[in-house]
Amino acid sequence: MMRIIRDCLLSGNANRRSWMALVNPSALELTQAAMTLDIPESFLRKRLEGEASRPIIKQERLISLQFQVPIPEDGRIGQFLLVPLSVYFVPGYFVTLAEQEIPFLSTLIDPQKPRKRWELVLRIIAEVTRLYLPTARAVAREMAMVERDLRQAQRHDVVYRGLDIHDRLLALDLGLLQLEYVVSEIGYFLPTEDKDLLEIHDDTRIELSQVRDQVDSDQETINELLESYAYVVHNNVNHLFKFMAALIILVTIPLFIPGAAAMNVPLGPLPHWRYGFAAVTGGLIVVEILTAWIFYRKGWLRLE
Amino acid sequence: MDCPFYDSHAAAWVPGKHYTGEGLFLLNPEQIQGYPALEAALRRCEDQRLYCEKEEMTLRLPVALLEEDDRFGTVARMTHLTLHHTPQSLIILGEEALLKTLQQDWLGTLGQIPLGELLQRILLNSIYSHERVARVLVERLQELRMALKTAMGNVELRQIVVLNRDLGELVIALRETGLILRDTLRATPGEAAAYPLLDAALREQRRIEDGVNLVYERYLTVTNAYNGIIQNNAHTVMKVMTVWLALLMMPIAFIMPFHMMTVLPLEHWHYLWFGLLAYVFGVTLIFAIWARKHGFFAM
Repeated sequence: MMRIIRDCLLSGNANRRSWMALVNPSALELTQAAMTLDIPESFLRKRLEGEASRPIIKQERLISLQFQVPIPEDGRIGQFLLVPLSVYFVPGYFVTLAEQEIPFLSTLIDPQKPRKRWELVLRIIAEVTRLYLPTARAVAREMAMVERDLRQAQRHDVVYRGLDIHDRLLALDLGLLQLEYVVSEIGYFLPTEDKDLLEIHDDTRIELSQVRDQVDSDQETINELLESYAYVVHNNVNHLFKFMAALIILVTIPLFIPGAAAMNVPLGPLPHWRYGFAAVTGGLIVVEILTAWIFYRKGWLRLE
Repeated sequence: MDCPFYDSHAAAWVPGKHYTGEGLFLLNPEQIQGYPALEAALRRCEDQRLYCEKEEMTLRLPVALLEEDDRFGTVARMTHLTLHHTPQSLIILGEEALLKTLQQDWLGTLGQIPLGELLQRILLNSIYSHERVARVLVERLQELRMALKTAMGNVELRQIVVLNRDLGELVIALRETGLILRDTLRATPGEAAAYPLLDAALREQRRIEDGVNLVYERYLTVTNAYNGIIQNNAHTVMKVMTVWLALLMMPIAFIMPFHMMTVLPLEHWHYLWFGLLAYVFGVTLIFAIWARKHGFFAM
């Protein structure tokens, strides 16, 4: 989709510029956009293809920035998509290019209150930064759910869930790293006499650094915990072993007590004694109960 | 042997018979024989990684490639690309396979780009090669991690160790690239046309190094969790074998009192044998159901 909204922002010389929004554009729309903007089409296409390239490119007629915007997936807490958002300054236009609609752009780019172009970029980055924080928190909160299941877990599924959280936090961290780089590079383009703009830049940088610290610390926590998760799962399985071994000991006792009375040798009066069966079986039950009690007291017969 | 030469007027690659000293050339080590000045510059560069003299500079940069190993599958391989840059020429020297990829991927549509920008393009290619390889290694690492779910041996774990080491190698190579670029920048006058291009390449190197280093460190710290997964697999098998052992022993234990040479209860009952079998297997079955409910059989 391609739409152009006139007079949405101000250039460096306070001239009004139009906003061209390209959302998941078709090949035809890309060609049209490239012609309108008078830039090579490959410039737009390469950004969409996700090829490795510099997140900030300055050329004679254009400046291009790219960063990742976390978009939460509907109904799936902690799941998100990192959507690359490219921003271009071309004479006469401010262009945004993304594979899906970025919700806050329409709010920030308001023809009623046109902002200066760098201020707008910094506001967009600040908004993106603010999106990273709840996304990272939602991912990190999943750790609590994993820990809840850990108590009973005998298989390493919980460890895999932990690894998945780790991967998602790493993706967020890499996105923030790129954003941090873009913000630091933007510093070279800002007019030094515009104190307000420099202040916004500083605020954005600080906010970004705080969010990154937060994500880093969440990730370090999960990294440290993952090994413990594996040990907890081991321990749960070991509890089962312990229980099984105690059970095997208990079922081994009847093999030798009645076995003693089952030998093919003269057994004295036992074969003819009326209460022989009751006496040996009763003795066996007493030994079993006693052994089971000792095991239970020692915790060997408990699954918890 | 032909050496690809870029004809900027025709904006096309043409096979050149000889290195002539002007323009853009892709050469392999054999093709520089017979050009003493170039040979000398490259020899010095092999020792120092960077050699600058007046307006000429020669850089030897690490480049990351992927290759298939019989034992460990897809692994990283480091090679070097030597760039000899003068105001009139840019000579790219490397192994044949690398040059071909470079020509196809990065130098295919050159148009009439100045040599300085070409140099930057090659530098960025060398830097991005590490990121590309790191991305593939991470995908492979994630596949191996999933394969660990059912692994009993150490094959996957050994491959993971190799991949982690390769990621480490990429970080080291990127740092080396950073050092070379910093030295190059120091040796380049601030007013030179190549200066801002080198500076941009150095900043990009820092960004990529930070990213690859972050990935390497994060994946390295979770390696111990993989050990836990493998051990858990072995434990699970032992757990299931133990529960089967207990199950097999149960009928023996419950039937044992009826082996005794004593007067047995119900010994004159005609169906005692059937009754006893039903009793022992019934008890065993109840235990099996309970054990299943508690996940004793779960693999």
